[in-house]
Amino acid sequence: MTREAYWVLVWRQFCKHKLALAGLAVIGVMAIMAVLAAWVGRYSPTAYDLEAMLQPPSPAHWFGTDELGRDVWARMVHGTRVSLQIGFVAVGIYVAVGILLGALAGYYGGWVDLWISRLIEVMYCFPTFFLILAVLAFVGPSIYNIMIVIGLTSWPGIARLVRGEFLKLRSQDFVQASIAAGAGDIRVMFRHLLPNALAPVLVSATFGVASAILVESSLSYLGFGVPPYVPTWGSILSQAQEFMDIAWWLTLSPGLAIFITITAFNLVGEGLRDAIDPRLRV
Amino acid sequence: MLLEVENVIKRFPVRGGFLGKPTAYVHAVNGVSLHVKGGETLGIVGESGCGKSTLARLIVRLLAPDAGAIRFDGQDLVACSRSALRAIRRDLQIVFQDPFGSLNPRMTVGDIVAEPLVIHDIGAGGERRRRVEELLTLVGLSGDVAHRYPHEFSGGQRQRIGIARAIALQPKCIVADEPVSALDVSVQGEVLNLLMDLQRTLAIAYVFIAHDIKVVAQVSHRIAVMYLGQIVEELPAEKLLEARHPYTRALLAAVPIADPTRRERAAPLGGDVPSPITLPPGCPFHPRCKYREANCLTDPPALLPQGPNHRAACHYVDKVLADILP
Repeated sequence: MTREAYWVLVWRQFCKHKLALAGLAVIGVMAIMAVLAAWVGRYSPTAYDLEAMLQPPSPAHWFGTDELGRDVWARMVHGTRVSLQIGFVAVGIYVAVGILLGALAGYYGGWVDLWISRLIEVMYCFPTFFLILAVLAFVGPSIYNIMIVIGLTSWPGIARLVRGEFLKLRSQDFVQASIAAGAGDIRVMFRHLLPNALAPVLVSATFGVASAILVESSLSYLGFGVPPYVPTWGSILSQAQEFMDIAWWLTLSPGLAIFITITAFNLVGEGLRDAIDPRLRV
Repeated sequence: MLLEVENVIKRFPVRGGFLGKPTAYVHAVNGVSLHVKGGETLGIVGESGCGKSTLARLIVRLLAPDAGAIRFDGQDLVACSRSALRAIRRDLQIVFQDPFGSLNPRMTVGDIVAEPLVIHDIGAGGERRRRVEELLTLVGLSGDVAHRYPHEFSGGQRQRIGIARAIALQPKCIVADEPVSALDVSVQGEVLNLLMDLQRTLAIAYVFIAHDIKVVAQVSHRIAVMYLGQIVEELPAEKLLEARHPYTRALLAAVPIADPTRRERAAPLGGDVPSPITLPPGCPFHPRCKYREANCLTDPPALLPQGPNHRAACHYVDKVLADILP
């Protein structure tokens, strides 16, 4: 019994998008690196060696060493773990919040919708990045704070999306049939509405991971992200920048890593968006 | 009486302007009364936009009426509690018009048909699966389609799936809202026969709604003709050709009947249904009626008895009768 027929079709469609598949492969490799960071990294990301500072790439130090003699490859690999964690957890938080609020607004309508929609508009009024920056300045830098702050500030997009889908789906006959059969609110929302509203949320979440990673990198680059000893792409880049004139290669790896990862997630997002195209709607 | 509808009114606000205050109302259903006995079919016929679908949704309580009473099996559907309503819904089901929109595309046919059983906690596991196969067989599909998805089926097959879902709880009454309107003519007949077979074997009462008077005449015991949210004539199906309301006559005249002795050649109905936002005063049909007199513009006609089980709302029934009797 194939339960996921729709997603099988989506996957088949997705496979036709070669660049998206390449993006998925890149993310897969990154994820494996992140999980196996301790082995892949070869060195400890925090062990410093003041006799080997600012070394260029060599067989011993693939990406060279930084100003404290720490192995940049090790820091990059551990940074992948942090970046992906922040990306997925932050998006997980805001997708959950967005689905919950959007679902309540779209399903119940009336004053529930009125208040949630106003809240969405209020959230939209803040420039999100500066809101995150301001909040982090108060709560202090840590990767958990970044996850939570991104998670709690970026949900309005998802909420609005889910609200719209729920509004549209609620009047459909299959939903009405379920209500007429005696189904309760929970059943209608989670069995009928949510599965039909999930595809666009997934696309949006994929793009969201890319932007969350970028936000973390920007925050770390500005020094508001993580404590300096935690390796993340943003902090590596920020530290490397000070030595641009004598060790330019240090900026290359974090810059490229951010660029490649963001591109990969965006390609996957685009592939997914094409794959769930309404023409495919079954 | 299984189902009683009394003076039900439903209007929808048209919002706009400051803070979305209603600026006008769409008068969808304007004081409809009707009743259905166990095991019989009441056909409701009318043009698009006359409030048929709203009435269907009111009867199964997907919408709440603004005024009036709806009783099912002696229980008040309007004022009852949520749990009482849930219990009533076991006996009162609905079949929708659109065979594509009425089945959840993300659920298998088996899950769709089983859903009412799950909601009312009937049977379990294998027993439920057997019941679903039995239901699918009953509506003329094979039991092994249960694991497939709705998009793999044609319109007629989907409508059968919708019917299987509706009879899953062995209801006493099914409201069928244009169940065959979206189907090919050849498939229409099959689905109508299925509905009538099910009525014979399961003793289900139907409220059968359609815009095609021919289809309604084929399946119904009694027919109610609806115009602009009101019942304008109600009569036994076998008396349909003796209908006395000018609107019913117009609907009949639009049906090609292979009978060379029929002399009536009424002009087809001109114009459109007036806007349900601003209802015409007096008789709702007067702007399109060829028997219209001055008082039709001011006095709304009452639904008066014309014979056994026959009522019509027209001031000039006599003039219509003079026209149709040879």
